[in-house]
Amino acid sequence: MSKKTVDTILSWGVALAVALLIANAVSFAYRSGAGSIQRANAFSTSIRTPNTVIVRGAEGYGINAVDERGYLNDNTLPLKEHYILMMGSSHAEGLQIMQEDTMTSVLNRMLDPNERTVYNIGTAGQTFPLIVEGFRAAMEEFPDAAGVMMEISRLEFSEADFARAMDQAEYDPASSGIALEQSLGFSRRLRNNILGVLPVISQLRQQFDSMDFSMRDAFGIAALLEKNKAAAANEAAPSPATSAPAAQTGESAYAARMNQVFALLRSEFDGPILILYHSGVMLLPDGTLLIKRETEYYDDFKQACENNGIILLDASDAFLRAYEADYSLPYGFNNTTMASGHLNTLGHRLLAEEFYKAWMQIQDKEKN
Amino acid sequence: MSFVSLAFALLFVFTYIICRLVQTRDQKHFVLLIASYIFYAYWDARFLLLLILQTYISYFLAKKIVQAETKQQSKRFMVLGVSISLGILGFFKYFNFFVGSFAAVFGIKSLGALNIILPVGISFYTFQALSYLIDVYRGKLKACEKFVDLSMYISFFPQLVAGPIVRASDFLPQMEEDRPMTRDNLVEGLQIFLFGLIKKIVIADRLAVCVDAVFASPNSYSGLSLFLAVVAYSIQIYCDFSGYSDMAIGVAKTFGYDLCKNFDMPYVSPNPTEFWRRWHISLSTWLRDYLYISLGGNRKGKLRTKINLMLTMLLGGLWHGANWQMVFWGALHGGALVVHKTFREQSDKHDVHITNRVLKGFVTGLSIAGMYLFTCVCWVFFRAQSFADATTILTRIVTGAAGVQYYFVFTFIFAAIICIATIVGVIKNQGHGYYPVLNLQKFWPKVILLLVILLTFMFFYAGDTAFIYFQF
Repeated sequence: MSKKTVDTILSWGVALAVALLIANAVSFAYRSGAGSIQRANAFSTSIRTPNTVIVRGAEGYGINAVDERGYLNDNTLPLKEHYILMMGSSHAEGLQIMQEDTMTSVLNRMLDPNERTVYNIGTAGQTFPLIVEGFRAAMEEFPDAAGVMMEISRLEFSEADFARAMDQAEYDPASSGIALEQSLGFSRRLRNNILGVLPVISQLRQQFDSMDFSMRDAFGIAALLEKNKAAAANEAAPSPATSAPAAQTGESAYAARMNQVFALLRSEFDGPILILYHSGVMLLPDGTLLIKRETEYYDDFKQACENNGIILLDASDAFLRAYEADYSLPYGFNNTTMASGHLNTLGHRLLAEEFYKAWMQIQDKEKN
Repeated sequence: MSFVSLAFALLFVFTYIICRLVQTRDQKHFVLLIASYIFYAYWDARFLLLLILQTYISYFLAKKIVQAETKQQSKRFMVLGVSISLGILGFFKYFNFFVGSFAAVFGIKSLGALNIILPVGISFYTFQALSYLIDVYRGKLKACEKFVDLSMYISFFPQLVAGPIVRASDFLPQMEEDRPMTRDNLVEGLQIFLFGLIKKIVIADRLAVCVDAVFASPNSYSGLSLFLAVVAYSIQIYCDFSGYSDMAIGVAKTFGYDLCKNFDMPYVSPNPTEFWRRWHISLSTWLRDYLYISLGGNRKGKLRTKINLMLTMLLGGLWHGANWQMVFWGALHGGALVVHKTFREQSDKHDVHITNRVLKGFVTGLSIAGMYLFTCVCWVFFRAQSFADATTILTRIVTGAAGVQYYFVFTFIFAAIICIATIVGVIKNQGHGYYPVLNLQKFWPKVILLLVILLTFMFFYAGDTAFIYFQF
């Protein structure tokens, strides 16, 4: 190999290293920190890497601290006795906003810290069926909980969800964040450290994963086949008269399932359980705000809650009031779109207020 | 096949390698033709037949034009060719529009609509075929001897589906020359391609998120949010379309061909005439040379000139889409051109010219701002889903209506970038755009190039990446 070739390769290599360093610096401010650790026999199937800081800027902007248990909580708030557990999905987790604006933080500021502390175990992807599935494990991991708050955005609960949820996981202390972090092997620890100092890798990987490399639409063949398939399916489809009873059967089956689900939750925990349902919203072309409440499930869900002494809250009215007051929306950000995606700062505040009002009513009842 | 796909990357690499390996110019043309047909058929193989048919008609009739014994006869062949080409375009693009409009005018309930799929890029390649026929008729160009050569000109994949609309008189002579595929061409072409790619997948696609949301529900958003969305659209459509042109120019460059410039910093135009010299240049010059001049241009008096101008812009609007909004968009621009022409005639007549340099600069700045705002108003009609929506948007902006406050961060970021790039263009290249091609022999340009690639990959928008102008 000639000297010129070596120089060229070296020059490009150094240039790549410099470019990577600059891109990496940008990543620290845009998307960095904490991958997930997978686990079994616990409330959720994954937690964030404990004792790290997460920065996310793709939807909203948030800098959040992960505590030693792998949940997003401000470590300055000690986990006291008689705390309230906040369960939920990525909405409750709140990566899209600053930590002090999450519903948990807002609630902690509203409640008297000498009496109650809210502890956030919201985890991305932890939808209602998965919350139910891990409920027993959560109550075993946090035995001193004085109450449970759940944030849910979907009411759908299929037969498959039901079968999985009723098979409750038993909590294994080896699955706690502290234990998991201590048990990490050298290679895993090294990997985490590398990803920690080189966030650009995760950012590039995420972009790569989102790319569509498929060639299924090539030459219009797939579209043509699909069209023919759809035409054939239309011909073979049963008449509406035969499908109607199936829908009715589904509805009553849902109610029965929810009764069993809530009976299970009640049997695992006898303190107050508050479920806050916040449905999606949509801006209609005429300027009105549509609340996309899942009406096909709502009444059965509500009835099942009442049957088992569980309080169901609904954020719809609060959302509508906020919109009517000054066109504020609970979802969406100025770097994505409004009325879609995750809860924004206002959405978190509205949910915190709903939780707070309901919790104070429970307190008042207890006092009286 | 979109430029932003793995399929295109593979096609480009294979075609490039094979073109480097072949020995003769004819072989290279043949390879490029096959690649172009694969590129086009990738959307829908059935469209390819239409493209070949269109090419063959042009090939056959151009020969007839040349072989005709009298001027009258050759004119007949030219008119026949133009009519067939426009007939095909008219059927696929405008049949339902005209039938619907006819029914609306005469109060007929419904004449029915055909389920016609618009072949991708039909407006672009039809105009290329027309330019070939007319140039042969006008004696500016020899008729192609080889069908492969004409096919390659009409279907050359970099510019096939969204321009630039390359003139036969610009491209066919290049095919007759030896156009070497050098390392320099490759380096420069790929950098120009990257430049266009950034405009498309980083800027335009990201802004589409805001634009689509706001234009879908204009009654919901505040006047300021709507204004910002219109600004976002002005940047989106510029970056989307000029990005595609840049990519096309870059890819063609790697194969040794030069395509014409299609955009030249249009938003620094101080008046409508200048705007159309800088926006979609290949279309505006095509319309000027083949439509406006054919209508008589400015040779038949002042009034007729203005009528011709208006007619050209109306048809230019209709070229963009088969609906009345596009016609209205064309009428707005046509009206502006007529007003500007009249203003210029009057100022020349009365010898009114600003001589003070400071005042001239101020007036120019004001004219640029005014022209940009006018262009934005026109874009509202271009983008809105209906006339009612367009008027709603404009009314809410003017009245400062209350509503959802949505200030899309990327509108500010990209507007700032475009402003800086424009200022650089104004200072460094006398008010014209240029491609920032880096000298990769030096170290820091390598760092910049690699950093740009990394940042593009980090921040490209991974959602829908369809090009706006594909629909035309």
